[in-house]
Amino acid sequence: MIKKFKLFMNPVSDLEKWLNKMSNEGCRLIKAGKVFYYFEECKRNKYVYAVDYVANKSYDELSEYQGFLEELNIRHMEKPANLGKLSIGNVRWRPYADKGARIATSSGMINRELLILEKENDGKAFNIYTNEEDKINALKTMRKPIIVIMAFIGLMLLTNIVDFIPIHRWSFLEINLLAQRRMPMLIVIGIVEVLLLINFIRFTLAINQLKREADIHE
Amino acid sequence: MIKKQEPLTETAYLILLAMLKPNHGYGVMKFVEEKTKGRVVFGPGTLYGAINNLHKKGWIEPCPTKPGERKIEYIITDEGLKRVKEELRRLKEIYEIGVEILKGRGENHDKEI
Repeated sequence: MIKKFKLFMNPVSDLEKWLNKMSNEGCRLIKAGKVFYYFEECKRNKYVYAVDYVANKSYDELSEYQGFLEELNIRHMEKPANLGKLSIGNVRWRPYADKGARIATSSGMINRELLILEKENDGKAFNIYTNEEDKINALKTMRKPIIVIMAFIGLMLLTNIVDFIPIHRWSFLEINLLAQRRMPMLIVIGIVEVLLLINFIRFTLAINQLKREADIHE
Repeated sequence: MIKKQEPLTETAYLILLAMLKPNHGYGVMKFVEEKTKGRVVFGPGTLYGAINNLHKKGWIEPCPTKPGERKIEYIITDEGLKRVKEELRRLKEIYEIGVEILKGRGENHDKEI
C-alpha cells in the first residue's frame, strides 16, 4: 500500500486531476482521509476518477445517491474536505447547504463532504454532470460555502479595522499600540480573505462562461 | 389562451422515452448510449438529478419492487407520455422549418444529414 500526503487549493477539480494522474502511474485509490491518500498498485489507467461535492446533501439523500451509483457499477469513496463550517462540538451549521441539510452532525454529513467516484476506464471522459445546467448548479453549490466564509471573515476584518478609527477619547499612543498588536492578525485574516476571493472569482468566471454556452446549446 | 409549451431538455426527453418500459438508471444510460450511437452519455450526477426531478414532477413513477431488489425501476406516467408527445410535435415543427428553409436555398438536407 502506498500512502501519500497531499493538499489542494481546489479540493474538487485539483483532486480529480491528481487521482487520474496517479491512475496513469498505476495507482488505484483505496481510501481517502483528510490529507492522506492510500493507493495500491494496479494496471496503468485501469480506472478513471471524478470528484463530486456532496456537503449540501442530507445524509439520506447521500445514501440514496450512493445506492444509485452502485446500480451504475461506480465505486464511491467518501472523503472529508471540511471547507466552510462553523462548528460547535460535533454539530455544524452549514448555511450554504440545501434545506434540511443545514445542521450537519458527525454521525451524518461531517467528514462526508466529497464523494470520489471510480469506474473502469472505457476510453471515454468521466463527467458527473453532462449538461450545462447541471454543471452550473454544481459550481454554484461549491461557491456557496466560499461566500459564507468570506462574509464571516470579512466581518472579522471589519470589526478589527473599526478599532483603528481614532475616537476623540483615545490618545495617539493608545491607537498606535493597538494597531501594532493587531497588525499580524489583520494581515493573516486579510490573506485568507484574498485567497477566498481568488477562489470565488475563479468559480464565478467558470459559471459565467458556462452560462454563455448554455444560451446556445444544451 | 393556449398554454405555452415548455421545450424539454434532451436529457428529460431521452429519459422519458427510455422509461416507456419499466427501466432503472443503468438501463436508461445504456438505452440512450445505444440509441444515440454514443453521442449522448449521461453523467451519473445528471442522470440521478433528472430522474429525481421527473419523479417529483410526476412524469415517471417507481414500479413496485420485488423484495430484496435494490434497483428502483421507473415507468412513464400519462402526464409524462403527454409531454413526450408534445415535445415530438415541437421537434417536428422546428425540423420542418429547417428543411423548408434549406430547400429554398437549393440545398438537399437529406444528403447533408
